[in-house]
Amino acid sequence: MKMKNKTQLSVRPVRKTKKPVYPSWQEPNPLEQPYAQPYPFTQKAINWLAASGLCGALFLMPEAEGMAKQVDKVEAVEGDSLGNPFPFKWTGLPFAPSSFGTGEPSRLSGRTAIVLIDSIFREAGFNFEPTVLKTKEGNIAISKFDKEKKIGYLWLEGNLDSDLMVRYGDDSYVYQGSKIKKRYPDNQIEGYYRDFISLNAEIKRHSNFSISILEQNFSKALEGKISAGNTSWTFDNKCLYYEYIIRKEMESGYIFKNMPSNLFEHFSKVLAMQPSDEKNKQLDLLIDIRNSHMKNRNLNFEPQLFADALLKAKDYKSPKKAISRIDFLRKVLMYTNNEQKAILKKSIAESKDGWKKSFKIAQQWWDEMTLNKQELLALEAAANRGRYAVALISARDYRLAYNTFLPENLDSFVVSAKNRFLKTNPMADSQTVANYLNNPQFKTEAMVLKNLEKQVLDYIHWAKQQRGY
Amino acid sequence: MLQTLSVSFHLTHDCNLRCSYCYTGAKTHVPMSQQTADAGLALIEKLALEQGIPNVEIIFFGGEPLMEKDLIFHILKRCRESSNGLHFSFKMSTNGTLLTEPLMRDLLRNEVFVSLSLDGGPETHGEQRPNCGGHSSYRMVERAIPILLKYIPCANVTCVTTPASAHRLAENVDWIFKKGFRYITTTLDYTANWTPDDMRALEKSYRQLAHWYEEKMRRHERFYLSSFDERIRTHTRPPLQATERCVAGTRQLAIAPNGEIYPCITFVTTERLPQFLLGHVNDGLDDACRSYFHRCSESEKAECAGCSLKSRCSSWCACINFMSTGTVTEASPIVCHQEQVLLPIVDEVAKRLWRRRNTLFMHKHYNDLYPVFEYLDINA
Repeated sequence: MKMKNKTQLSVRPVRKTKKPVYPSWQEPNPLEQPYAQPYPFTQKAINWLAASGLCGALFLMPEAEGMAKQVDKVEAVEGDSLGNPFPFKWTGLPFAPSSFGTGEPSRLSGRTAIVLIDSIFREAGFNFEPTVLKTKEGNIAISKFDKEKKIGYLWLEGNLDSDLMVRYGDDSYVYQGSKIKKRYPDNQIEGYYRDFISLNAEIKRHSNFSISILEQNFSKALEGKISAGNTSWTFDNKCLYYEYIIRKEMESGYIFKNMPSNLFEHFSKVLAMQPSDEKNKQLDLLIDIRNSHMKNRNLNFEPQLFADALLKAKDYKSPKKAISRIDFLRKVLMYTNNEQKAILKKSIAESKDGWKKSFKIAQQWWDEMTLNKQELLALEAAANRGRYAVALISARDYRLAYNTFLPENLDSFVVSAKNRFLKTNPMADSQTVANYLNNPQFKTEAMVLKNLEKQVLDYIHWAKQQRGY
Repeated sequence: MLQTLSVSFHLTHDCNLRCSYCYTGAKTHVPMSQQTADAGLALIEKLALEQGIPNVEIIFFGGEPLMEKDLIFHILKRCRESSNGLHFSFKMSTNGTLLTEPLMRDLLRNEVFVSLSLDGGPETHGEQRPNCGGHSSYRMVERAIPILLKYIPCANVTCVTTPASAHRLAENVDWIFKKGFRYITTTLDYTANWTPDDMRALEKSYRQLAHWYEEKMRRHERFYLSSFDERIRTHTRPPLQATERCVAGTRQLAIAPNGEIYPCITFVTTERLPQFLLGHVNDGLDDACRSYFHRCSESEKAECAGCSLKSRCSSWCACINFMSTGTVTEASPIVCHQEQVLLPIVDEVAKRLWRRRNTLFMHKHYNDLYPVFEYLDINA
């Protein structure tokens, strides 16, 4: 039976095709043998040139960029005692993680790496204590620095400014309010409002989406139509939406396990005393924190600190300033680790000069703690000049990455991994995945640790030379 | 080899859309009965156990499968109750018009991986996928996109390109990407009358898509685009054995609403195709028919003799050949032209990415564990 056969095309075999110029399955895997297939010249050509004593010419040619990269890689991986083993160019920054899929090898966890690095420095006779280095780019807080030898290191992970680390969800989500331009039909918007009023609407995962729809599509005519017979509430879009969410949160109470049960009640009281615009902004922050927390379950939210801030803010003379400071505090709470939080809390507790002063201290601390590209380059330049040496050790340095082992039967491995995660936990949190990847069978991590040890020892050697020891 | 028996349940011939390229025939409201579904499941379980295949993949297909959602949940319940040691996984291909949030939640709770048929932006979608009244179904589908992505961030989209939309392929893929989808499967309307002019328009689109692909890879945006990634893999991965590349009829079956069993979804239409019939859920499978079909579809295509692209071309796909030529033993001329146009473009992009040692490219195509990591990451 013929189904359809109308096409004017016919099958015409091709006798000769161009061979693709990237490694085929018959050649060595470039991940396992990165130097097996040099570019832009073949191994044969390189051998010939080397034999002719012309090898150096290769590196002078701009076309040899790819190969020069490989040579850099060899030097760095093998540890070059003549150069800084931790320059900025090996930090892998800036980087932008994408929404899903790794496509990259596993990386050493910060905790493991820091324990190892600290022990190496300790054994080499270093005595670290926190300090603040003054550079022309600003003050930089360094917790691992030997003040006497003027040598230390920075672990670059989570303490980076936005120019070095784009956080997933900050600006990549498609349905952000600013990107929605189309007007929705009146009946659809009316439906949204009616849902909110009757509390039948689903909580939107990304609140901006809904709010934007409401804000951008709300017409005066529609307002009149809906408000007829509903005089008990006002058309404050965000407020209506947020109040709905908060009520829901209070009912469910599952968002923060460690959150004081009366936080939302307190919050509601504060809200009642404020103009709706300020109220909206504070609610914005609260929801933002809720959403961020949902994405970063490994971070501990400290609700009391935030709740105190909110409650104090109501007495603040200039609500706008209070809001901006709360927003800043949100960043601090969400993107710092427990150790850093402890330092901050201590600083604030020690300050007896009131609320404004506390925030000022926090702000200064935050500025010192987070690093931008210019500051890192300044540190590198200072190290090269021998003023002081701070190794820039990055979690994104690919030398600290490793490929996990290849199981003998890959297919069964895929199936079992898939089954496990589908069957038991389709929404597995990052800790579950991390535990899985840190399973003892992933032995290749040990090789990376060994490499890191060598790099750090090389660094100490280099730094001492720079400092003239 | 991944031992999975993949079975498509065509729950109904009915559909609420009238896609211009639909090959399944009249949209009659003749749903599969629960008895037929139960008999189908019993047959599959028996087959999997006999052949020692531990994994069974059930695909809900149609027509529009969500028009028979009660039957979907009946089959899911029946599989959950099954205690024969088989592992079931579920997929569904839908046009999205009937997808609601509560339904999506229920499907996810039952571990059903939903993929969406979406041909591109409003213009293309409107032209190619009208509803029963001849109006665009775009609005209805657009509503479903955030719902689907909320529950399945890695949901797959199947985008069909017809001769009329060939010039908009790159634009359509970009639109789908911007909507938040990261797994995009593009395919052609193999039943259409493709002319050399259409192929030239398609080639131009592929060139635009090549720039798009390279730019995304260089920005380390992770995604899967079948037309490019699969073709690169034909060079970076060893070719599959002849017996493994198309498993239609052996480890892939399609059950029609009336219980008839065919080798693949393409053969399930409202018009009966007795020459491709492999059996019935009540009577079992005819092994002779199965092996005959497999032999026919796997046979060397005389017209491809001496072609240097043979090892990288998908002329082995029985479904495509059938849609294009009406028989499984002849290679599709559309595929032939497409591969001749696309492979050089893809190889050129891959060459540039390789020269830059693009990390994502390297791992996507040379790291065997990439799919595992990707999977784990998606579920994190």
